[in-house]
Amino acid sequence: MSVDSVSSVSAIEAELDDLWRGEAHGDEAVLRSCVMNLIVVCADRNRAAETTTQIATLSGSYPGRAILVLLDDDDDRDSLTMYASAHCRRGAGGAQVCNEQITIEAGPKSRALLSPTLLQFLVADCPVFTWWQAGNAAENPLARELTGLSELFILDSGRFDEPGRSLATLDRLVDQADCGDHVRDLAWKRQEGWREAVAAMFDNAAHAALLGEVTSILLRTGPPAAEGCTSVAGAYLAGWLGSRLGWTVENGTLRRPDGEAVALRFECNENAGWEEIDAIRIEAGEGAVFGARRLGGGGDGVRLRSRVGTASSPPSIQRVGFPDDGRLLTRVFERPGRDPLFAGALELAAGIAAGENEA
Amino acid sequence: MTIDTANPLRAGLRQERAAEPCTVVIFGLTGDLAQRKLVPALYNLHHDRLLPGAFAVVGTARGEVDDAELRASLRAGADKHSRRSPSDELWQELDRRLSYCGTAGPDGYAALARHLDKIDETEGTGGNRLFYLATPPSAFAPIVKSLGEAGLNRPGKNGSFARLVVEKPVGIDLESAQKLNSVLNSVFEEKDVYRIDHYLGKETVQNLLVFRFGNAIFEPLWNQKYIDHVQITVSESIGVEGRGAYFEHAGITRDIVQNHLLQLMCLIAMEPPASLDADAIRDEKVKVLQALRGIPIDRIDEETVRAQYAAGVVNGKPVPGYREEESVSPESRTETYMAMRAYVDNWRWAGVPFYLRAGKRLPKRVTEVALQFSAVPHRLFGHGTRGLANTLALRIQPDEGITLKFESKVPGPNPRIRPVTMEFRYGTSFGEQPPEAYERLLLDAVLGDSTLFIRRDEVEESWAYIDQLYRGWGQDGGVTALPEYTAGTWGPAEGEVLLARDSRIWRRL
Repeated sequence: MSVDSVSSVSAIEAELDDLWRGEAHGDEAVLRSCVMNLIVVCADRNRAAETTTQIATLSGSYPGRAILVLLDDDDDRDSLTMYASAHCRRGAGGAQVCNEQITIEAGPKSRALLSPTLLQFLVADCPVFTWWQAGNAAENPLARELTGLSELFILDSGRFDEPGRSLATLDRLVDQADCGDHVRDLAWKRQEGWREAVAAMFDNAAHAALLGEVTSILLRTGPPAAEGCTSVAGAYLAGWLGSRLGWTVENGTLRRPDGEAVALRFECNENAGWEEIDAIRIEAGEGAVFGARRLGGGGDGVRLRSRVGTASSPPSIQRVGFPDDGRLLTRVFERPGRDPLFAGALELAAGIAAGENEA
Repeated sequence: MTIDTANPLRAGLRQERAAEPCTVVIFGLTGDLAQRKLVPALYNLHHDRLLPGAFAVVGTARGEVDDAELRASLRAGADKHSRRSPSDELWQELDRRLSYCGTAGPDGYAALARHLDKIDETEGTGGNRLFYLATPPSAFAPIVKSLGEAGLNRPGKNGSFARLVVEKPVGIDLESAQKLNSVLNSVFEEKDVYRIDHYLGKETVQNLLVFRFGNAIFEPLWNQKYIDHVQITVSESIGVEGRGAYFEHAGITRDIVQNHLLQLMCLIAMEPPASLDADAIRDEKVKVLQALRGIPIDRIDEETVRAQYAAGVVNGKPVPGYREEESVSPESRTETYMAMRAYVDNWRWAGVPFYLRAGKRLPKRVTEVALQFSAVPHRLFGHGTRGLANTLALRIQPDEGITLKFESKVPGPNPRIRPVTMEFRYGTSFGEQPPEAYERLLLDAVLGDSTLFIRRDEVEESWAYIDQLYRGWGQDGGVTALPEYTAGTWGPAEGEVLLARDSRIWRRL
C-alpha cells in the first residue's frame, strides 16, 4: 500500500474542476448545486454500472457529489484506482444542473486506504448518505465505519442471502447505539404502500375495534431469494402490524397482549415478483375478515375487501406500487428523519423470520 | 374530526390523519374548473392514497346531463390536465364512485339530499359532505340558500360534517362581499366555509412562512431598519383568453390584486403567528390588511397606475389589444395593468414602500416577491458599489426558488466590485413533485384544515382597501382614457415613473 492518496485526491479534484469548466457553454450558467454526499458501495461491476445510471437519474432532483466505491476481491493492486465524471441534465427553468461522480476501485490490499480517502472527498457542510450494496452490512468493518460517518446508512435486506439471518443481523446493527437511528432499509421502505393499504382497511372505527382480536394472518408473497416462503417483505409487514398492536414473538409464535396466539402463515405465489407482496388476509373476532389482494395485469393497485359478520363493505382499490431503487432512495431522502415504526417492526420481523427458518 | 386515534395502524404513516369518509358534491361538474382542476386533483389524491376509503363524488348541474358523455369528458379532462397520466384501474375506481344528480326543478335539492343519503348507505360515507361551488359567482347565493332549505347544511347524525368550499371572487366590492358572506354564514357556520384563493395552495407560497419563521437569519432583518422597499409582481403573458365578459367587470385589480397579490403581501408583512393554528395565521394576515395605509382621493394618480394593453407581440406571435378582444367594449376603461405604492403603517414596516404590480400581456408569466435591502451606511468601496447591493427574491412561479444578490470582489489587483447571485431552486433541490394547488386545498377541506383558506374578515378587509382605489379612480366620471402599453412589454411608462419618483426601478424579471 504505497499510494500517495493526497496527490490522487488533488488530481481528482482538478479533474472535476476541468469537467465543470468544460460543461460551461457561452453565457449559460451551470448550476453546481450540492444537497448531499452520496457514498455508494458495491461488490460487483454489474451492480456498479447499474448504480451509475441510477445516480445520473437522481442527480436531477438530488444534485451533489456521488462517490461510488467498487470493492473488487480480484483486484490485487495495492493502490486505489480513481476517476471522475459528471452527470448533467436540464433542471428547473432550463438551467443545466450537474452532478459529480467519483469512482474508487479498491482491492483487498488497498481497502485500508478507503476511509481516509473518502473523508477527503466529502463536500463540506453537506450531509453524507451511504447506500450499501455490498452484502451483509452488519458483518463488514467498512460498513461499520460508514455508519458512523453517515447521516443515513441505506441498505436493502431484501437482497441479503437469507431473510431470517439478514433481518436478525440488521436488528443487531440497528440496536447498536452508535448507528441505530440512521439505518434505513429499502426493503422496509418498499412496503410503504402496503402498510397504508392495510391501515386503510381499519379506518372505520368499528373495524379498528377488531384489531385487538386478530386471530390469524395469511401473507402471500413472491418467492424470496432463498428457499422457503418467508420473504423479508412478508416478515416486515407482519412485524409492522404486530408492533403497532403490541404483539410479541416467541419461538416464531406471535402473541397478542392478552396472551392469545395469532396464527401467521406465509404462502408463495410463484407468479409474483421478487419481494412483492401479493395478498394479505386478516381474520379477527367472530368471523371478521379483511383482505387485500394485488390486482392482476401488472398494475400497481390492490383490491381491499372486508366482511364483519354478514356485513360486507364495498370493495375499494388502492395503489400500492412497487417502486424501483431510485424511487425508494428519493423517498428516503425526502423524509430523512427517524422512522418511528422501523425499529419495532424490525425486531418483530426478525423474530418471525428466524422462527419460520427454524420451522 | 378525524379518526386517526381510532386506528393504531395509522400512527407513523405518511398520512397519520386519515380523512373521514366523505362525499364531495361539486356544483358545476361540467364546467371548466371541474374538468381542468378538480377532477384531476381528485384523481391524484386517489393515486397518492390520500382520500378516505369510503369516498364518493357527486356532480350537479342544472341541465340534463348524459351520464356516459359526462364520464367520458371527465376522463378526457383528467387525461389532458392531470400531472400524472391516469391509469385505467385507478380511474375506474374513481369513476365507480362518481354519480350525477341534477338539481333543476322545485324538488331538485330534496332529490340531491335523497341521493346523498343513499350514497351514505351504499358507500359508508357517514353523512359527511363537502359542497364545492365551482360555478359562476352569481350562482353562489342561490345554491347556498337551496342547500339550507334542503337541510343539507346541518351536520347529520354521529357528528358528521357539512362544509362549503367557495371559489373566488367572493364579491366584486365590499358591499357585495358582505352580502354574499352574510348569505354563506346564514346557512353555514364560518368555521365550515372554505374560501379558496388557489395561490395559497402553491407550495412556494406556503414556503414563505417556512422561509421567514423557520430560519433564524432572515427575520431579524425583516423590517424597516434593513429593508429599503419591497416589490411584488404578478405578471401574466396571456390576455383575457375568452373571459372578456368577466374581465370587463373585474379588471386586473379585482381579478388579481384584491386576492393573490394582497395575500402575498400579507404573508410577507405579517408578524409571526403564535402557532400554526388556522386562526392564529389568519389573525396576523388580517392585521396587515388593517394596517394598510389608505390612499386619499387626491393622491390616487400619484400612488397608482392603471393601463390597458394595446396590440403587440407575445411569445413571438402578434396579439390584439384589449379593446379588440372578444366581448370587450371598444370604449372599455377596464385596467389590464395596475401598479401602486402601498404602505403598511405599523412598527415593522413604517416608511417602507411596497410596490405592487399585476398585469396581463406582459412579456412573461412571473410571480415574484423581492425585498430590496437598504444600502450600507458608508460606501467603503466608493463608486464601485451601487449602494442597494442586496436583494432577496422569492420566486413563486415559474422556476420556483430563492435568490440572494450580494456584492463580491472581482479577482485581480483592483478593488472592483460586482454583484453575484446565490441561487436556490426548488426543482434542483427536492425530488418530490409538488402537488397541484387544488390537490392540497381539496385535501385540506376534506380534512377540515382551514389554514390555507380565506376567512370572512380577510376578504372584507381586502375589499375595503380595494374599494377606496375605485372611489379614487371614479372621480373623473369615467371619461379619461387609460394609458396603453404595448402587449409584450413590462407595462406603461407611468409604471416606471411610479418608482422613478422615488429613485427606484422595477426589477428586470
